[in-house]
Amino acid sequence: MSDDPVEAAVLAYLERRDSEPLLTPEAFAAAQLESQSAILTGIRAALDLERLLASDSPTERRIGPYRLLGELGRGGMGVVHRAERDGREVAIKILPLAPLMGARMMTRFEREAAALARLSHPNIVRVHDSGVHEGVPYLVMDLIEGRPLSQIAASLGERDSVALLRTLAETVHVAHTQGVLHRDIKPQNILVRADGSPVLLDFGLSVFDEASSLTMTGDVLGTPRYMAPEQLTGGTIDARTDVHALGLILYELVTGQPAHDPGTREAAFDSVRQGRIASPRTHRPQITRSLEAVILTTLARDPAGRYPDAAALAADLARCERGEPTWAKPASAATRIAQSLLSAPARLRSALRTTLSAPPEDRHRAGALIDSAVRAWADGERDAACRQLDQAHRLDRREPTAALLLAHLEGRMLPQGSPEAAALASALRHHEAGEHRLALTELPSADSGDVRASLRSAIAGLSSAHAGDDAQAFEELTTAARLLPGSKRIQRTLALVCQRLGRLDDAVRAHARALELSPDSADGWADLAEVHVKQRAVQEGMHALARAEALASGERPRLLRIHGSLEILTGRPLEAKLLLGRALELDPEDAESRFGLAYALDSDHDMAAAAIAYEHVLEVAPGHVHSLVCLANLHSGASRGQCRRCDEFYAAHPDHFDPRRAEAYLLRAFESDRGADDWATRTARDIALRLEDRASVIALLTRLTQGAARTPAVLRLEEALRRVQFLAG
Amino acid sequence: MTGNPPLPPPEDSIDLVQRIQAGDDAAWERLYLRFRDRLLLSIRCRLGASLRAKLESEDILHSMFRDALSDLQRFVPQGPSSVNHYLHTCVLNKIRSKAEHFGALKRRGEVALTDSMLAALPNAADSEPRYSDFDTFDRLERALARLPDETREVILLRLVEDVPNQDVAVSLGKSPEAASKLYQRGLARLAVLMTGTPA
Repeated sequence: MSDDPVEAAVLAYLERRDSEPLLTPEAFAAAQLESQSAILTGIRAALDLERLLASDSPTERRIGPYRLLGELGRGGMGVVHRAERDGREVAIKILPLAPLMGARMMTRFEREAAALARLSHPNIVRVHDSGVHEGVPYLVMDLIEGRPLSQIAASLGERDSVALLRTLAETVHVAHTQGVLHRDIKPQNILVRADGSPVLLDFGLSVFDEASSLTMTGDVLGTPRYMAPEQLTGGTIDARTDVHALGLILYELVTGQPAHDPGTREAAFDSVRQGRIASPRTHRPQITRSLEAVILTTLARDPAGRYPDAAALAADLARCERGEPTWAKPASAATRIAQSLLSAPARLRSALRTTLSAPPEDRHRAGALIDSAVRAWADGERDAACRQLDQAHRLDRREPTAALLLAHLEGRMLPQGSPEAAALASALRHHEAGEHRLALTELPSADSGDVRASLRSAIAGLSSAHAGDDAQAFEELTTAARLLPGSKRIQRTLALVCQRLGRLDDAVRAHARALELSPDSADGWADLAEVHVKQRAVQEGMHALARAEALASGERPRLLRIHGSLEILTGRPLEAKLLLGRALELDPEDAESRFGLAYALDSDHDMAAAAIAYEHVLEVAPGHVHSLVCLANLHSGASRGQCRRCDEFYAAHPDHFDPRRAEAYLLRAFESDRGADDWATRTARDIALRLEDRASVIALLTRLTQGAARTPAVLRLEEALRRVQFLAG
Repeated sequence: MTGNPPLPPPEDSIDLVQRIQAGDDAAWERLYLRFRDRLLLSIRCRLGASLRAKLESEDILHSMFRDALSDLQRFVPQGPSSVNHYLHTCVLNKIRSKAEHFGALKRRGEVALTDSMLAALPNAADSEPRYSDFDTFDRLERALARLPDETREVILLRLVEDVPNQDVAVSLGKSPEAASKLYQRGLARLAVLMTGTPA
């Protein structure tokens, strides 16, 4: 050991530095009792000597025990070097600006470095050491042989891109579960190995980038192309921020275009803040709707609209790969139009906003005016028709389109090339040019006898349906549907009328025809699914529901309710309760969802809860027939499909059976008339057959049928009565 | 330490060798500039008094580089340090060959000097080496000269010639721990000598 205290101190530092990578020369010198300045100078001289001599290049130097071999790249945050220690090559990220950020940031660096060192995943670059060299923090990572995704993006096909992003999403999720967010996922931070597997770099480091950017010029800060809106607006950064970044990368890979305007940095900032993203299919129409839905879900401006975590995104991408329906729903037609026009000129966007902003009540009034106008036109009152259509147009700019489309569809009846067809085509052209009045004056010239007859039957049928005269509407609409097989509106109305009349097979046929004309109608598929529920046709119902779900945007209470009903039919009340509970969360006042939940409880034999739930339905819909019947059913002890169990229950607890109450409920059910459908009748008959006191049942049914209108339901009830009387001997 | 040598652009030595093998003369010049000060330092420290009296260090350097140019065509780099190792091995071989040459002459009682040697002889021992970064390398050379032989050897091997500690230990007949300790002591001493603050 030297007698020179400075030399002894320099030696002491050199001996400690390998085992204490965070020990800085400054800290070491400051801890000495004397000659701190000379000691610091000596240490720096020793380190300078190593840097100067023991390297491949005079520009190379050492960082702690690592010998720098050359620069691999640099960004706003720091510089990455290839480095070597004991023959092993590594990558070192040096954060030269970190000391400017103050002690708090340095503490954070140490904390982040410790968290990163714990991350172990084949698709995350491993951080296996960290330290501070002459006051500058650094991270030591595995040296990955690969090419940045930004360089190979153009060579990836859609399938490869989806697979790559799925792997990345799974990887990011693993990091999230260990409490580490990336915050700066971008193609430059993703290396792709020769075998195609991706490796994520720079986990958790962007916090230093952000902090360092405060001291830098805008040039260094770079583009915000891969930022989420909340990163610019100061919102909460969480797992969904990384999900958003993954979505931006996927968008770019499958469309070949960045999601945000790369023109200028300001334009890109603006685009990110507003979440202004054109639909991927506007760039590349071959992209499937489900993949587009996945991308747009990840890119929702509001984090609540995105996947809750990266695992959910990975699962949906896997579904895309397998060609299965995704959790993300394709956008509705209106949303799709909106998205496709987002990149359109400002005037067009303004017009679109006007169209989409019509409040529901105005749209409803506009619809009524259209009906009236069509009727007036068919009656030869063309001026009135023009006036009403004009009013409808002012209320809701979409409605004239609907009216003219109806005419157009009806025009399919016309022979091609005929003067009438030409007149209709001319009218449509005028309409598309915004010349609505001119369009309407063209239409009468297409008013051939057949068209007039068709329109009359259509209008009559629609009017009857609107007035609630289903039997009359059925006759008229059947005629109209035969004359105008191309009218979606007529087919759909006919289907709904059939549904109300209990003509379920006819309803299915009418819905199918309507869906042939409009296969993208989520409501149409939902209507069909509901009919199948009534038919107890589970497989067909599930199929129709899947189509509706694929077309609908976001969660819809109605679809959840239908799904819940189908789950009840498949004997899965637990799943049904979850779905119906969720439907109720979204729309607490919806009587049908309340009923669905009550029915699910009933099916799960939770009778007390079911009874309360049925009463809950009646709070919002006092005449809800199915609830009334089910309550009666409950009180009679004849729970559907579980008779023996109920019989046993009521045998053990005779006080629970209250025929008077059951009678009262059934009476109320039938008094509400139109709800007395075949289902209610069948239930009543079931009750009757299971009650021991058949005399009471006969009396009940007799009272129910006395004085009632001779509707099909009442006729069936009478039949039930006769059967019970027969059984009673 | 003040003033670093003029910094060439950060290029990989292996890349330079590959460019030389492809016939890139500019790469050859860059490789020479990159290593000349270190090689010169190594030559100066290893020549010993008798050879230094007879030879100019730069002649050895130039001679070594001339030989290396043809040998480099067959050189296959094995890692980031391999070029440095290779050049220093060439230097040692050249010095050894010169030492053997002069030794043989001495044994035969002959003196064989080249024209350049003759021209340089009067001032050879006193002439200053032509380091690019004269200030740094001259002080370093003087500081190295003040170290004990074994310490200077370990510094040259590890610091200048980039020999791994394991190999240094074998070369010195010591354990790796002892070799490492010796290196650290030498480096601390050298640093103090360089900064001019020894007690």
